Amino acid sequence: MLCDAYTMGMVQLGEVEFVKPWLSVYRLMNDQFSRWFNLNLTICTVMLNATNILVRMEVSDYTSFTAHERFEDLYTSSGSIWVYVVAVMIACGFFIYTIYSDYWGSKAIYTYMTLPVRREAIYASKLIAFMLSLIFITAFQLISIRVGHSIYAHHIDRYADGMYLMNNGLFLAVIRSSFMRLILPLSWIGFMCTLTILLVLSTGIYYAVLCERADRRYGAIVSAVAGIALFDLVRQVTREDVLDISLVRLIFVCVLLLSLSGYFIIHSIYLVRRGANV
Amino acid sequence: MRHGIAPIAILAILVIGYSAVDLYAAKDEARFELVDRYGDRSAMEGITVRGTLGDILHRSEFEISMDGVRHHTELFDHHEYELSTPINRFDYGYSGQYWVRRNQLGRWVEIWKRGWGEVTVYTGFSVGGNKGREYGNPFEYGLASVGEKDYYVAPTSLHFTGIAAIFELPFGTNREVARQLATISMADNDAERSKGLEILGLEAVGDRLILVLKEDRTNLIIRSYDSTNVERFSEEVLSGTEEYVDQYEAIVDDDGTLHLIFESSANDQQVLTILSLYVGDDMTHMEDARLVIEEGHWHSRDHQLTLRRVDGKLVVVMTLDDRNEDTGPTWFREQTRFMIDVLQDGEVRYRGELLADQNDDFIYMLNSREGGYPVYYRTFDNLSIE
Repeated sequence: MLCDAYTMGMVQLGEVEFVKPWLSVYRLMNDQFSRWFNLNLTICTVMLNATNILVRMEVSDYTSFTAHERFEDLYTSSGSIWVYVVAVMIACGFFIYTIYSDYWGSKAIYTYMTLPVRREAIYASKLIAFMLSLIFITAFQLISIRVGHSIYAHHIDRYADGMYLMNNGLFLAVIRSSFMRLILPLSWIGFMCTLTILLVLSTGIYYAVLCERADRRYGAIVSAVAGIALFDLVRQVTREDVLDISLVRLIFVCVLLLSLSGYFIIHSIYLVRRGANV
Repeated sequence: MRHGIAPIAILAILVIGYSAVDLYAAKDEARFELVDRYGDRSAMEGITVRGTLGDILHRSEFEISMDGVRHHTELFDHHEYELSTPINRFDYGYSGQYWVRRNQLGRWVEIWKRGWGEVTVYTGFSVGGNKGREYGNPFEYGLASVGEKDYYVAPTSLHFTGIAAIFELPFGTNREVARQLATISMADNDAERSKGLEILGLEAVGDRLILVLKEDRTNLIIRSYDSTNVERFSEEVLSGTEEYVDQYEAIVDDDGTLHLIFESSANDQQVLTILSLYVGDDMTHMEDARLVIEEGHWHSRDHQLTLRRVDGKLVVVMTLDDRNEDTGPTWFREQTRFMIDVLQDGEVRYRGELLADQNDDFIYMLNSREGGYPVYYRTFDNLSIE
């Protein structure tokens, strides 16, 4: 199947065979993503059901005599955020597994290395497949938030003339919840932070594994710096009290992380070209 | 799987894109509705009330006119939103710009001005008298600013029998001691018989300083000084009514009208007596209006109030606490109302209420026994009348 993916992108030009670069990346991406597909579908199905059950359990105690949490607080206290965190961690773990698995068993990495495609294409395809998986999981999380809000609204609208239901509650929850602000930013700075987190997480994990494979010990130090900065950025963005968030610090950390991300890509491609397994 | 990635990518992007666009568009779905509570809305003709309702993450600007309410919402990233302080005298932070502290002995006050430093004003003390009871209103009442210059007079009670003085504060100069501009002798004060003068406060209208005095506990004396030459002053004496309490609020119109608001109560209802004075070269007492708050309660510490004269009508816009409702054990419950009153010839012609979502933010408090404020809650702010 793997070889089939490449022959599809090959054209004849006299005696020499080569692959159109964009087509080869697209083929490789499809090939990589096919490894992800079942896992993604499982993660998302479990995530959607788990958050629905958690929200339903949390809201089921509400009557006209209980104190009503706002939706964003209920969503947090129900533990639904941890479902997403676990989903992302599973995806990260699987990403690491897909990289390592190429070196183990069938040693697919040698097949990749001998393919008539540029090695950057192999790098890009793996990276994009992982990023797309994260985006896919996030999209499902957004669906689960909407479904969760419908469950919440439907339940508390049934008694006391709906007086506990906030008007325009989903919008207010999304701008007020630090978690929802993180996964669905409605401002440019928030968008920049989320994009930075996505880029650094994916390029950083890949870089760390490549460094380990290539026995470049300093890679661990750079990855650790990126890890600390990433942790700081996530902590800043998800701060409850936005007045304590320093815009200068956010931009500084974002620029630092984006630069590191650029370095990761450039050095990873260098390592992949050199073989990364020696 | 030859093309598996394309539909997945399109689906994910569609879901995220739709969520972003849909929720961003929902920012303007908040409720803003004007309902008539008394009188005919035609009294609102030519009057526009503007304001904002928001928390630190988003803010809706609204515009109320006879035709209804228009609104528009902005989202904020990080601390772009700064709440303006409501008129507020009972707090230490006087609009965040000044900070007034009385020395323990009560003979001088220390005034701090943001970005300028601190000065000490020797307010004088009476001979004999009842030490410790010489001060009347909170010290912040004696502070007024004309441009960059600041003035201070210590609010005194009938127990003060010395010489009170209006001082020009030496912020930004090399002088250490505040310059004395005008003096008022209080030597004849007699607290036992409730006779004499009390200083309620100092206000500024244009380049004029307005000294608010009370005579024999009943009459109100409003004295207007030219801040450049305090020898020249005009005076208005308003004969006694019990509604002129010591702690008042002052609002200055941009056309040079000073409104003094005195709070009292009658038949368990709160009454605001609004005294309007035009301050020019001479001072003219324009009208006294009496506003009875039939439902709810206004408190200067918690609520907004602004007013303005438009085409001979006095427009009062304020937020209130809805305390008339039976709140049971949930005494900390917050229900804010937004009222517009149009008064003409001292009488209410129209009363309207803006219905918005501000109380939704306190749903947790409705049945909670823990109290405390939520992290994000919307407040009214930046009120103006045109």
